[in-house]
Amino acid sequence: MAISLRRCLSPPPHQPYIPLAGHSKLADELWRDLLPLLRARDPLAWNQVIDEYFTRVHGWLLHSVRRRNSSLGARVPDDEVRDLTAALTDEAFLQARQDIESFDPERSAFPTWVQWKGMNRLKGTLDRELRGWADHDSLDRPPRRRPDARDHLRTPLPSARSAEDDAIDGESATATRDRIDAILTAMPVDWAKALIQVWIPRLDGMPFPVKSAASEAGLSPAAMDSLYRRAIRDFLRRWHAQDGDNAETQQA
Amino acid sequence: MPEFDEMEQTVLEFLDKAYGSSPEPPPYLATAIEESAPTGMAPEQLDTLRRKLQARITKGCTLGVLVSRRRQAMAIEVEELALRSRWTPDQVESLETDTLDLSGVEPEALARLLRALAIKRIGPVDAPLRLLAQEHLAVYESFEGPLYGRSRRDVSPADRRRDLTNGIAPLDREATARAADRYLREVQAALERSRANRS
Repeated sequence: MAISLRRCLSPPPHQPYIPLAGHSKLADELWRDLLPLLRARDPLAWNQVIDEYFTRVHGWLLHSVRRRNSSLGARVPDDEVRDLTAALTDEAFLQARQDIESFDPERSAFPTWVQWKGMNRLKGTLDRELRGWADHDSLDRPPRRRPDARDHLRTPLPSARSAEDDAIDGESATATRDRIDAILTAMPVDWAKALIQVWIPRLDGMPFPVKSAASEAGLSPAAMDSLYRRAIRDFLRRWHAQDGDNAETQQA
Repeated sequence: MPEFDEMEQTVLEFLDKAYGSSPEPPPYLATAIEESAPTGMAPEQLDTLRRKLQARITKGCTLGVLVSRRRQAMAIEVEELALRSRWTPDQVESLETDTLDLSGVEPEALARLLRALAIKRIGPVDAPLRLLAQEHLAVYESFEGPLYGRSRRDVSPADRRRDLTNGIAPLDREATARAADRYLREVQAALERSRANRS
């Protein structure tokens, strides 16, 4: 039975899009219109989002790989970094295509979700690759085969843990995540943003994450440091306040 | 009151635990990375990378297959798509089965069909459309002498031209590439016009 194009491409009326506080609603809404088709794994829909968001995802991942390379002594030439990032961007989109059923449009925007997929990939096997490069030029070691940009695709994923381990950790991490999501979205926006802005370069191993975040955000290091310190204190205050509330609930 | 470093360590550990291996990004990630500095990559380099990835997604599917899958994913019938794009159902079907000769399809008409499938830019169909255009808009090097042939039932003009010139006039690859490129640019221009008219 044929249904109208508008009905097919619009979100169902009973599921209005209400972004969680702190999850920005990106100006371009192409991905939201295409979501039913992305879930149906329509190749043209995937090509459309790649057309639209490739530069954004690739750009952010390139900065991230460069930061990580820099934190490891910048041993990998920039040409190789670009090759690694190209492979990483491909992986991020292909993984997103595989996991599209689990994408929750109320938690994050699609391009951010894809970027995060690339980031997770970077933290795994690709990270080891960068370290491999970093070890490579040491004069104390015999020369090794120069890693190929796509080696990480042939390497098994790092999770050699049991399904039970993953389930237990996953449950605990989900509970922590929900709680932290709530705290971050209740905090003053500038403080919560500063916290995440500093946490990201820290994840990439940058030695001066506050300075790096300040540069990315176009703020002075002193301004970023001030926001970050207030954010840390506010976060802990809210965390402990929640602990107090929970204890009272249990006593009651 | 604990020292700031101690507090910072605690908060960062919370964040690591919550989002370190989470499939969902933390709140404010989008705003934290919105203003990325330039990467130094040329637009042509990014274009090449983007096209390679798009080719991995379509895995050599023809334009007809992609259009057919899109129409089915949107759950619309051939007749309805034809109506919306002012094509005949036969034309839509022959496009989907890769038997429609592109030399007889105006760029404007193809743009209407793409628009009806919610495709607003040429990028997502660039590779398969270019391939088809190169086949159907082939240009042959000049041939001295008469060339006889007549139209035959169930033989497309493109096939007829190819058969007639087979072994006589070699394909002019550069001119063919230029003709295909011109066709794609005209489709893109028609898509942009239609977008401008709607807005």
